[in-house]
Amino acid sequence: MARQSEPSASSARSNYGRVIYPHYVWVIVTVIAVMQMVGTSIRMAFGVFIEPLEQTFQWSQGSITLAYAISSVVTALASPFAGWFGDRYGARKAMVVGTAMFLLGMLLTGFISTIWELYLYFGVLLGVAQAIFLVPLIPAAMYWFRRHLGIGMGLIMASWGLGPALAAVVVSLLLEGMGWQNGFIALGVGSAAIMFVLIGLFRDTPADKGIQPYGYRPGDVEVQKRKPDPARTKLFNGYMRKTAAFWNMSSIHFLGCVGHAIILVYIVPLAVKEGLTLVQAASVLTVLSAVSVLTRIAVPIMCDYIGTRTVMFVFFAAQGILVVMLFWTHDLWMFYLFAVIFGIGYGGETGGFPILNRRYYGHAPTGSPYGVQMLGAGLGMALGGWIGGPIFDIFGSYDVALWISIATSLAGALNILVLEPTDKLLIPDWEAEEATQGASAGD
Amino acid sequence: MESRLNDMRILGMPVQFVTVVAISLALTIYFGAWAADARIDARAAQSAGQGAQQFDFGNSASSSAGSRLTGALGQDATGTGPAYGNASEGQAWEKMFLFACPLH
Repeated sequence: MARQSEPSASSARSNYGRVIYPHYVWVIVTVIAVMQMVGTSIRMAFGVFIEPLEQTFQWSQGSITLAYAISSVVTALASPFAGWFGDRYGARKAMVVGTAMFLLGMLLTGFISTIWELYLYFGVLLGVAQAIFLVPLIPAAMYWFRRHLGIGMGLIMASWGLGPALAAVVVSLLLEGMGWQNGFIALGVGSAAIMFVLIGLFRDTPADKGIQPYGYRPGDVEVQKRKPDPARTKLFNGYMRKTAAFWNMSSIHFLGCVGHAIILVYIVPLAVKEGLTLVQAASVLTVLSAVSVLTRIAVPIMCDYIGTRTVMFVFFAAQGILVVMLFWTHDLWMFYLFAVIFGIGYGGETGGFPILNRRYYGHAPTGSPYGVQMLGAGLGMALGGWIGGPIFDIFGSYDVALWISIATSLAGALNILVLEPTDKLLIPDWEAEEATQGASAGD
Repeated sequence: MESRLNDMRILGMPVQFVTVVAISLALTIYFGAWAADARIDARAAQSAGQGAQQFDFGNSASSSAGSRLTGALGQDATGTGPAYGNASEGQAWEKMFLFACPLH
């Protein structure tokens, strides 16, 4: 293990006690935030492609949007694999694979002529690419923070809220100017070019750059500086699967995502049913997404200072309880008020999970557990997005769907209460056991 | 209480996780089968109605935002209303839910 260079150690001393200071970590955070925004923008702007595809091929809207559903489910199912890939080969290599798949998927989608090609290229290829952009980069960011992880996670999570707000506008302008086929190709090539530049700036760990992680203080126990080690990852995953938190964080993320997916998908038809125009209803969704950016930034920081379980419980409970408001929301201003208040709860639902992983598993390779949590989240989004339709067909209203949203968010909050305390690592001695087993295996 | 709950396992998985999975699966199958049942009934009624009033096109009382959204997930072939079709036979997803649900 390489010793820390002297300039970095003196720099660490001079930054002792400071929360914000210059460090390469901010390049890493920017790279991850932009990668996730660019890489996931195409799915966020999917609505823009529906009409051009319908006009060109005379496909039904249902057939076209099935590609979106396939992409969502593929992303969810590929998430654990994406997490494992990041742990095994490093986030940088994962980004190269993800970008190549993204470019291939976009180029091939630009030349489709049958609906099955749309499902294969957009649904499967881009679905897997999205999993790679969403999952391994978060654990990679965690390696860069010895302290103040919440600030970095807050900035990255904010990009998840900004993405949907910007993507539709940018993509629709591009399509209007170039047509959908050239638009797909230009977007694919342009995005991939940006991504490859960003990958050039990215490093898996601070050691790859010859520096210490952000927030490092002289005397801190030095954390992993090695390249990804499959034996180490496999050993840790074996221990991790025995912890209740590994399973429960996934089901909690699932519950939280069912809770807000119902609102995100059905707030527009609900508002239209109450007499709002489609544009007004869509603007409610925009306000909701915009407000969520603020809490996406704030929640990971609050987790650092107040306590992860407490903060997560409050935001899960808020996300659930505030939906009650929709039962007596009928006017435009009330929908806007709901969007602002619900946006606060919704934005806070996701940000605690990376912090919780750090608290439970320390500096271990957490790509796999985070991937399993994203599997839960993806399935929750798919279920929440689907369930309102059948419920409307049965009851002729969204009331039961709203109650399901409330119940799932509150169930998530209750499950957070029974998670293990975060004041100590769940597998504190696994590194020692690793050393023992590694030695016996001739490592 | 936390540690006691976290120590309780079913098939090696914590009891909270298994509970969430089981309840979610049960509710999904139940509501899915209920919706499938409703859609098959509506299709049968629609075909019967069309037999009686052949010229009453595009005036479905059940046309709705919810159904259009259901259609957005691949169930509506026209994009203009609920895709009940012309027959009382179930679509593949409807058959699947009805097969899986013991209550429908």
